[in-house]
Amino acid sequence: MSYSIETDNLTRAFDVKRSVDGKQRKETILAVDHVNIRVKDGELFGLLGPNGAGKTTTIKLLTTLLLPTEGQAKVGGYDVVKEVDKVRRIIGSVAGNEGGFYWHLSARDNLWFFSQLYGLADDQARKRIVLLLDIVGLADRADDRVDKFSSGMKQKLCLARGLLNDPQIFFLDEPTLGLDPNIARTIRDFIREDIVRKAGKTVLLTTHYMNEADELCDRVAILDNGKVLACDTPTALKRMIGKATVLELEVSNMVDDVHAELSGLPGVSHLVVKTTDPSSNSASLKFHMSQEESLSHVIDALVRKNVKVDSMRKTEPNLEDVFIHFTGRGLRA
Amino acid sequence: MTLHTELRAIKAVIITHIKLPLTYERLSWWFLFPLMNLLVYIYVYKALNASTELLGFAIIGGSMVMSWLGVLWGMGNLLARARGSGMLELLLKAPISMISYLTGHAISQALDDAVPLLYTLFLSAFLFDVKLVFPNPFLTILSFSLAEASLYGLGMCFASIFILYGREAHHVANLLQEPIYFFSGFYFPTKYLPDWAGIVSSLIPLTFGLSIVRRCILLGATSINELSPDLYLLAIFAVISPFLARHLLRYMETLSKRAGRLTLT
Repeated sequence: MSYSIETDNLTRAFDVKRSVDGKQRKETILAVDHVNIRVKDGELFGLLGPNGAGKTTTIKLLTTLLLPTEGQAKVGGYDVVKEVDKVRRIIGSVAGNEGGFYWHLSARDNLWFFSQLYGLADDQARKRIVLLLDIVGLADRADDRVDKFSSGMKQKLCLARGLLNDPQIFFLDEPTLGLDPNIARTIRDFIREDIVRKAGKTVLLTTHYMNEADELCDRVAILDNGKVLACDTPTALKRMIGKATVLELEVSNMVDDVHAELSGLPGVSHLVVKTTDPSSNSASLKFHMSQEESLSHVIDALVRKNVKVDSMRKTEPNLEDVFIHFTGRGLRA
Repeated sequence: MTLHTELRAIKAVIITHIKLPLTYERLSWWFLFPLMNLLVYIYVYKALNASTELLGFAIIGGSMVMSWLGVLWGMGNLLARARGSGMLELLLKAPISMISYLTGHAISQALDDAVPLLYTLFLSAFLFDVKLVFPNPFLTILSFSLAEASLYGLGMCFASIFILYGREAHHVANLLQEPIYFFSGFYFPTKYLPDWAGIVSSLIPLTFGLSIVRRCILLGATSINELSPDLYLLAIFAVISPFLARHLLRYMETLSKRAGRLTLT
């Protein structure tokens, strides 16, 4: 089996200063904690986790922008510490922050500039820019200034920029962050169909959108506090929950002490509460129940506390449920 | 990567810089700022009935101020600014040497700063009747070129060092700006400085740059011998500074990668 990306106990620690009792104390936090992943050639691999899980730090380590404090990583067979130049030649990357453009220049001029950093000959660069702008749907805006572009257009331009050097391995850090659903869908389709299926590239994608990971990725590693909690295909991950029933309740008049009581009920394995409207104390409750019969106990407890149940539905487990299964909290908690 | 690729990157940086639109800020920076700054000194000298030679000193220093500011703010802050805009991450991931990017910027910045330099020099000399002489045009061009090359070489070193400071880089630039004005003798001959300050002054390449340019176009130097040893020192600095910057950059990049300071997030 050939792997495009391999990590072996990859670890990155940061020293941070915290104020405790008015005194500055130095603490070491592990942003990436002994991570072991193997991404196959031509695979679309996802890192799923909440903000601060260590996804971006992992990408920075793999794209040679950070040095690991422990462990090793290879990209395209090259060591990310010892063979930096070789790694940089075969990777492309896109971060979801739309940055790094000359805002007063056109999309074409910007792409030309970056094509030259990758050593593309002028003719070759111009042809590739036309092709990429066409692929991302910006051909008719090629000569418009980038500062006139919408967020979605800038993100598409980022994708085009990342593909300029026709990389073997493509890193996408939250590629649809902050985009409206239609544009996000177009970009997801582009990643899946054009980059992976047609061009056969290997893609490592980070996201905190469970649907994105579920829909796009061949395999997903779930990260939390720098650690890989689980790694498998989305279907296999969801099977890990076993026969647990997932119930979602929308309630109002929610009171604080209900959480503890509900969590302690027999048959309730996990409960995640998200406030949806603080003015009416509305909340969304998600239960993982090992016994469906426990539902009556849940309803009794809510009625006793005068919590009003507005709606209730049984759902299929998704990747967030897998995350809840491992951590006891939601992805956005 | 090959030399050809590195040269391609340098050319791309220069062409991209040239394509940037001329904004009002840039025009005022070119045509108003250096002249206004210089006029203050000229009128002080005139009020004190200073000699035309002293006015000439101020005019040459005042014209070259833009090069120093370009080095400090344009070059020095370049990578720190690129870090803030997300560009640095992209540059580092590209398979070119960062020194090519810095070289491209140094050349662009030098071309950019040449506009206010020449404009301020000739306009103020004309307005205040200071006679500029060019007995040996080759020597004049060589002096200017070496002064500029050593300055922008220094700028490349600054860029490498400032990368560690991140958002605080502009404070460092502020800290350096005025003392260098003073010690390099932008507006007055450094021979009037006290001994200890003269020693500091002799450690700054800019002092030599100003000195040889003044000797050429104000005092009419005609041979290289008249400009030695300053000219030779500048030539040495102009040659070694890109290599020094390259080493500094590598060292700083490793430090920054270790500390996690290369990117914002």
